[in-house]
Amino acid sequence: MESIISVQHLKKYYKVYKKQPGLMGSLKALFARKYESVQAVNDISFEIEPGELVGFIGPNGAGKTTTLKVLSGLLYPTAGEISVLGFTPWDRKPEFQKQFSLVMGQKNQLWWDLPAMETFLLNKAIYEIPDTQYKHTLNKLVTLLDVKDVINIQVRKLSLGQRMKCELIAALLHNPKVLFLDEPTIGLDVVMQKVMRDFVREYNTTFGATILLTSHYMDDVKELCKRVIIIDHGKKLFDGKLQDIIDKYAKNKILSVVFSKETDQKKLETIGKVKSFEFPSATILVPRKEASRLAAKLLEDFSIADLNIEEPPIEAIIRDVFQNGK
Amino acid sequence: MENKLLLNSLKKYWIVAKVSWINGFTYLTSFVMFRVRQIIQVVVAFSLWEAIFASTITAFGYTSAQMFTYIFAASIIGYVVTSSRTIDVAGVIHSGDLSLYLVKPLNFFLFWFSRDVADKLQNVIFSAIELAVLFFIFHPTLYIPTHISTIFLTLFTVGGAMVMFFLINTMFGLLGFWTPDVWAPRFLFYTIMFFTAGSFFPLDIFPNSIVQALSYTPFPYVIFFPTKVLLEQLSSVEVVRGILFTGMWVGLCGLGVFTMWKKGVHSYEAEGR
Repeated sequence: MESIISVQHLKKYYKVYKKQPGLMGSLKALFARKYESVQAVNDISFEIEPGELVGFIGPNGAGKTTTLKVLSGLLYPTAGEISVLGFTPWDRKPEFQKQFSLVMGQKNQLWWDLPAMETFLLNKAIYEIPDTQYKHTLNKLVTLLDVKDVINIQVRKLSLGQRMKCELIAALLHNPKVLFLDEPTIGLDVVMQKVMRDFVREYNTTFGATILLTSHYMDDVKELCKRVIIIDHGKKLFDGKLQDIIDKYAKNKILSVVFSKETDQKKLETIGKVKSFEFPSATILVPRKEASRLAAKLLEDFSIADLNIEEPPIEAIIRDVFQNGK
Repeated sequence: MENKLLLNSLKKYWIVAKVSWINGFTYLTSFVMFRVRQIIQVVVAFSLWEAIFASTITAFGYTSAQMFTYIFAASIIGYVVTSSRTIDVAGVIHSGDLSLYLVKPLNFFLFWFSRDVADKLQNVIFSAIELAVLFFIFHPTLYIPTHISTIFLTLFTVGGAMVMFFLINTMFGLLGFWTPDVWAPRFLFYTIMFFTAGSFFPLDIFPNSIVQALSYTPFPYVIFFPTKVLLEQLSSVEVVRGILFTGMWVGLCGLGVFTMWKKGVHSYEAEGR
């Protein structure tokens, strides 16, 4: 299948100016400014096929949002070849803009002092959406997100969750084929995060839209994305199935043990690194390849009531990847 | 097909103007205060000239009736030309909200021009009441143009002034790509315009050398020139010269806007996420 998004060797460098603190620093900066080049994205390549829902993860400043901005045509890349829906994004052609949408969790397109409905009508005109399509899509989205009662209330009177739902509707009225979601659940409570996740999944399957999602909440990524792209310091670290991250990066397995008799922690440390021990339970980190042998040794040397061999949580693996800068 | 595209495009910016108009009513206090400021300015101008004409029949070649008529007409034209929403452009760029415009099939300048038109319409409608009150207080002679062509010429020159003023303001707004300090240069421009656009007095009361010097700047074409056209106080040559100069400034400012936009969008970093 042909890619709907193609990114080849994308580089985006920023020039940032450094100022010394204080009044003297400000005065000096008036006459001589020191600039520094920051490599926000440094040689990233990936392809995304139509209908895929891909998670784009990385710590703050990794280059996720910069990549999304280049893909949306907001930024000109320093180098690289990028194609979205067959268009060069920064040409900002209307035919391209009518087929994608960018939702930024921290930027609002809704008119603050007017009901969301006014923004919807404005977007209908901006995207030149035919009446029947507009009514059909609006009804569907309003029902899916359960906001019938709030779309005629001033936006500033709405809760963050209600606002975010209306932001999504405004962004999706023109049925975009490609959707860039930048931290769509930021600041939302757990219930609302779940609602948003369900909606994104539903939108992906119902409309067959291609979605690229960034989020700091691993739950978003775990629940929605089969494929993830991990970047850090502007470099791609991983691109593949979420499950494959464990195979590639997890060095340890976790032995969760329940003892039937009192035991000594020092003796336990001969098995592996004791992460927690509070009789009768303990968790021990052991090298992945030796997990079976060490589990057998544990059963031999100790009185065990229960033993489980577990994979470490994905969050911990990714955190290790970032911390070790691999 | 092309007609449909044009119609859709017109509809797009008509809705922008409509939503902007509706939004304008939510800031009622700001709107009322802005109107109060405009009234005070006109009342000050009227009172000043009333005091001057208390001891003389003519001043600077104008009778009191001619002067009041000028100020009355200049007020109406000033309301139309100088009310603008472009003051928000710099903030939109600097805050990174420009991203919301750049991802849409929308012309950024037509969007803001539509908002400007909505703002002008709102101001003109509400100023009608104020002008009626001022009319009854100061009794300016209403000048009815003798030629139908004057109406068209006035509309044309006011249109030119609107576009020129929009482009000048937009240039100040586009400074937001490089600096948050847009307020200071804009303030300086408005201060100069305060004295040189002709809203409080006709510029031809200045010595000829100053009038000549000013004619090379954009300022007289904001209010003074269209007002003089409306009052039929210019020769054909002066009208043509004024139109050419307005056109020249529209062209120069348009080029300025185009260049700044090209450079600005390239350096834009879409801050604030």
